[in-house]
Amino acid sequence: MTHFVNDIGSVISESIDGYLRVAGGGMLSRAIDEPGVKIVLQQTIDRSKVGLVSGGGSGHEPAHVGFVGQGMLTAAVCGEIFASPSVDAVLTAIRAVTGPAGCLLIVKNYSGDRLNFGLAAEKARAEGLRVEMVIVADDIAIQNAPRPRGIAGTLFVHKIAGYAAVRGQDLAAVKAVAERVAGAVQSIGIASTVCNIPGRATHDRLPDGMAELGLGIHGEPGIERIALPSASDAARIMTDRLGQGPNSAPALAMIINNLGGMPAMEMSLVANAILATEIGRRTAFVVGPAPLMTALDMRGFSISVLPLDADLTESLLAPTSAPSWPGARAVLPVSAQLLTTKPLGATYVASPNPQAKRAVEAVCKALIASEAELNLLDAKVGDGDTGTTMAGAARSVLSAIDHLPLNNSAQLCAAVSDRFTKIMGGSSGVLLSILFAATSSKLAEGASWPAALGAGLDRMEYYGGAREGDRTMLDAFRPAVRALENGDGLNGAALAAEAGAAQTAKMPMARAGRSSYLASRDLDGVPDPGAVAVAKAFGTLRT
Amino acid sequence: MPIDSAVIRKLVETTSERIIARTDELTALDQAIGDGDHGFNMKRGFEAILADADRICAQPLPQALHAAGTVLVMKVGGASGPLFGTLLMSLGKAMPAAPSRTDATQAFAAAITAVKARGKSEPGQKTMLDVLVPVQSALIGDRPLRAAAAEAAAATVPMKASRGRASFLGDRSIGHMDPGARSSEILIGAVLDVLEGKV
Repeated sequence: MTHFVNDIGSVISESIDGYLRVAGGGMLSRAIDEPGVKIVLQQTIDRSKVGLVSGGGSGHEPAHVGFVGQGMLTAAVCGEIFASPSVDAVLTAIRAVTGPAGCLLIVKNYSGDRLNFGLAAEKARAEGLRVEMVIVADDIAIQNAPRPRGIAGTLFVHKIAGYAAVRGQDLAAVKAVAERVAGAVQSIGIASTVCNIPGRATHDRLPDGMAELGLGIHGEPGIERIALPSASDAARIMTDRLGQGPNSAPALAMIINNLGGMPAMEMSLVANAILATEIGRRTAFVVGPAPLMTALDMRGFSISVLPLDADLTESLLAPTSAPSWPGARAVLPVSAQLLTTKPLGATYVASPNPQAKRAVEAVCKALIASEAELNLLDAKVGDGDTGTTMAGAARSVLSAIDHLPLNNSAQLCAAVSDRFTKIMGGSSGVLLSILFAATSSKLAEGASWPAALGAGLDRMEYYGGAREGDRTMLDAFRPAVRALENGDGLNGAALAAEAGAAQTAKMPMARAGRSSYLASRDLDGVPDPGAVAVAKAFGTLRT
Repeated sequence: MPIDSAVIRKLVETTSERIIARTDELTALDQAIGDGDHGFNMKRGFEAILADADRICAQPLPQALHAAGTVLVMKVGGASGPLFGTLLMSLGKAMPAAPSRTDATQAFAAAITAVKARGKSEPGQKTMLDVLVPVQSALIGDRPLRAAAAEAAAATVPMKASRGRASFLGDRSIGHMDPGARSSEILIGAVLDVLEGKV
C-alpha cells in the first residue's frame, strides 16, 4: 500500500471535501443527504435553464466534480471507486437540479452507468420531471464494437452541451447538440501500468516493457498488448486508429488526457509527439495535456478528437467557471530565437608567457594524471566523478593554452573562469569558475595573488555555503593561500594544501556537496576528493 | 418447507454472509477481466441488506424479496446492483406468499426474463445469466441444482464476453470465470442450503 489516505471508507467524501475547499469557491456545494449519496452541484442553480447531470464511478478525478460550474455541468454524481453511482444518488441529483426546463443526463457507456442513470431517469419521469439521457461511447479501441466505452471525449459533450444550456436553449436542442458531439468524438487510450486502488491489493498485470493499447479508465485490461512504443510511435499508432473519422475535417479539437500517473514532463513530450502527427497538424485547439478523466494513478494517456465547425468552436472556447476545465488553447508553432552568449566587453587576446604557460600546463597535467585516483576517492564518498570533472576541465584548458592571455594574470583568470562555466558540470565547475572570476577582478584592481585568491575563496564560500572544516576543497585551498600570504612561497602552499587535504580524512561531517548526504562512518579515513585535487594542483607548482 | 420469517431471516443472513465472505475471490475474478469492483459492490449490497434485515425479515416472502431487491437496485451502484436487485425484485413480484415448487420455478423464470430485459442480455454472453438460465432449466427438469450451478459457472470460463467491462477485452476475457456467474452460483448454493435445512 502506498496511498496517503485516512479511513478507506471515506476516501471519496474526504476527497470531495478537499476539492471543494480549494476549488469550490462560493460556487460548488455537496449533498449531505446520506453517506451513499455523493453529489456535487452548483450552489446557485438557474432552473429556467436545462440542468446537466453527469457522473459515474469515482477514481476519474477531476471528472466529473471538477466540471461542475456555469457553462458546464449542474451536478456530478459520484459512485464508489470505478463503480457507477446508485439509482438513489442519481435520482436525488435529478430532483435537486431539475426545473421547468428539464434535465439532461450525460452518461458514459458502461452497463452500470446506463442501468443506474437509466433507472433514475425513469423514476424521475414517473415523478413528472422532464429528463433526457445521452450516452457517450467515444472509445474506438475495439473496431466495430457494439458497445464502445465512454472515456475522455465525454468532456467535449459536457462543454458543448453546457454552453447550449447556459445560452438558454431548450432540452431538445441541448440533447441534440450533445448527441451530435457524442457521435462525432473519437478517443483512444494507452497505458504502461495498471492503477492502484486505495485499500485494495495491487494486481500487477503488465510486464515491464509492455503497454496496453485501447484500454478504458477503470483499470481493466486493454484490447491489445504491445511492446512499449516510443512517444512518437505511440502517437502515430493511436492517431492512425483515429484517422478513419476526422479525415475530412479541416480543423480539429483535441483532448490530451493524462490518465493520472504520467509526470508533467512526459505529458508535454507526448503532446509534442501527438501534435507532430497528421491529425496533430490539423488540430486547431488542444485541451490539456492535463489529468482530466483519469484512472487513479494509471501511467498512460488518451487522445480524443472532435471535428470542429464555427458553432462548436464558439462553444468550446466560451469561458466556464468549472474549476478543472483548463480551457481550449490554440495550437501554435514553437517560437524559437537565437540568443548569442557573447560576454560583454573584449574577448581575450592571446599573449605568451613561458612561466605562466609552464604553471598552467603542470597543473592541468597533474589533474589529468589524477583522474582515476580522484574518481576512486569520489566513488567512496560521492558519485565517483570528481576526477573526470577536473580532468575534463584540465584537458579543455590545455587544448586552448596558446589562445589564452597568459601574459595578463587578471585576464588569464577571467578566461579560465569562462572556460570552466562552459566545460565543467556540477557544482565544482561553477564554484571554481566563481573563484577565478573573483580572483580576476581583484588582480585587475592590482591586488597580489594571495590577496586575490583569498578574495576568490571568499566568494566561493559565499555562494557555495561551505566553510573550512566542512570537508571540501576549501580545506586545501585556504591553508595554501594563507601560506602564500605568510610568504612561504609555492612550496609552503603545496605543503599546506597537502596537509589540509589529508586532514579532511578525519573530518566527520561533510557540510556541502554530495558527501554531505553520507554518514560519518562512510567518510572516515577517506579524504575529500576536491581537496585532494587542489593539493595536487599546488603540489605540482613546487619549485 | 414453509417459508416463515425464521426461514426468511436465514435466507437473508446466509446469502449475505456467503457473499461477504467471498469478496476477495469475486474481486480477483473481476480483476482478471474487469475493473475489480464486483466483489466490493456485492459486499456493499449485501451489507446494506443485512443492515436492513429487521425490516426485510418482518415481511412475507414476496415483500421481503422485493425489499431486498430494492436495496440492491437503489443503493449499490455498479452494474451488479441493478441487475441482482432486479432479479430479487422480480422474484418477489412473481412469488406467492407460500410458494410450491412450481410457483417458485415460474417466479424464477419471470425474474430471469426481467434481468434479461434490464441488462439487454441473453445467455452465451458470459454473464450471470449463464448460471441463472441453466439452473432454471435444471429446476424444470428436476435435475440436481447445485451441480447445475457449479457446471454452469465453470462453463463461463472459456466464454468470450460480450457484455459488461469484460467485453472490452475481447479474446482476453477467455479463460476466466465470470464474476457475476460465480456470485449467482454462491447465492443459489446458499438458498438451497437454507431451504434444505442444512444451515
